[in-house]
Amino acid sequence: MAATVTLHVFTGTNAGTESGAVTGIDFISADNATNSLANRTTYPITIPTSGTAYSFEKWLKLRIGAGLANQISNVKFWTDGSFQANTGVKYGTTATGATPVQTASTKATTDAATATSGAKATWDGGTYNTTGLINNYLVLQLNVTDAATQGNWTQETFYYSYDEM
Amino acid sequence: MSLPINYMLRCQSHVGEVCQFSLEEEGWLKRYKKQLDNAVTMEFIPTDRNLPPIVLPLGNGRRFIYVSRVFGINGVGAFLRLYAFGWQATVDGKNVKHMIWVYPNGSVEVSEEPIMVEQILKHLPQYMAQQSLQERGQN
Repeated sequence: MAATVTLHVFTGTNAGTESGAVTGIDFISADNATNSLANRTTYPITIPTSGTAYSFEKWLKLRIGAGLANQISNVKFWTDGSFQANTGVKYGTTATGATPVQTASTKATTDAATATSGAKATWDGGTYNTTGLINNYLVLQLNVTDAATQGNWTQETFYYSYDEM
Repeated sequence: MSLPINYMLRCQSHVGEVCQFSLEEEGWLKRYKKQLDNAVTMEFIPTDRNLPPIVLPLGNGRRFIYVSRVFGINGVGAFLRLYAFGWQATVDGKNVKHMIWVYPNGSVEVSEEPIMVEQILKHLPQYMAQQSLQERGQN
């Protein structure tokens, strides 16, 4: 049996509240782990009259569950390299939790479009031989400029990988 | 979500000692360290699929490589699992690596890093969406 590895969102004070396993995330104006159209409708990002508006940061970690034979390592993250016009996603990694913010992130500061299949970003360089959470959070934040078009943001696909032995 | 391929690893030392175990066995890397270090051939044998085994010739300073790489796709909830087998050695002061990647359908790719997988990942969300629509239509 291969290890069960699941993706989790961390919300609240010091990103200390772990969600159940998720398969998708919403970039919204609230700090929650819900992934639904209703959630996005209730907590939209308003296009600013000038400058840039931000979603709440999304703090993510992988949890290693049962079935691990030896170890998991080499956790990577990447995107398809482009986002909808006048919007962008920034990312960063950190081992220390902080309360998610809806202002310009000091953790998610690198353009996620630069993390591509040909230049994958390192999410966590550790080696894990027990069940539990990996050390590093992946922090993501959506940026929306005043030139953005109103409406649903095009769904984006984010990829991650890890090596299991 | 791709089903894992279960492999049995059969190692043979230079004096003919044979050791065989499942790669699903917890802690095999430490438990069989001596046998792994002394192996001159390794045979990775699929136990639940009709796929050919992968045989690695070792010795001469070659160190085996085995890894199962899992690709997750956020927004789709899909996983794709590949297996990599190979060896690396220091030759003329340089690290030389030879790898073969096995895909869920048994296709193989000889490359240090998998390349075909990028195309699969690119089209998987669309494929999953179509599957979902078809399933909804059937229900």
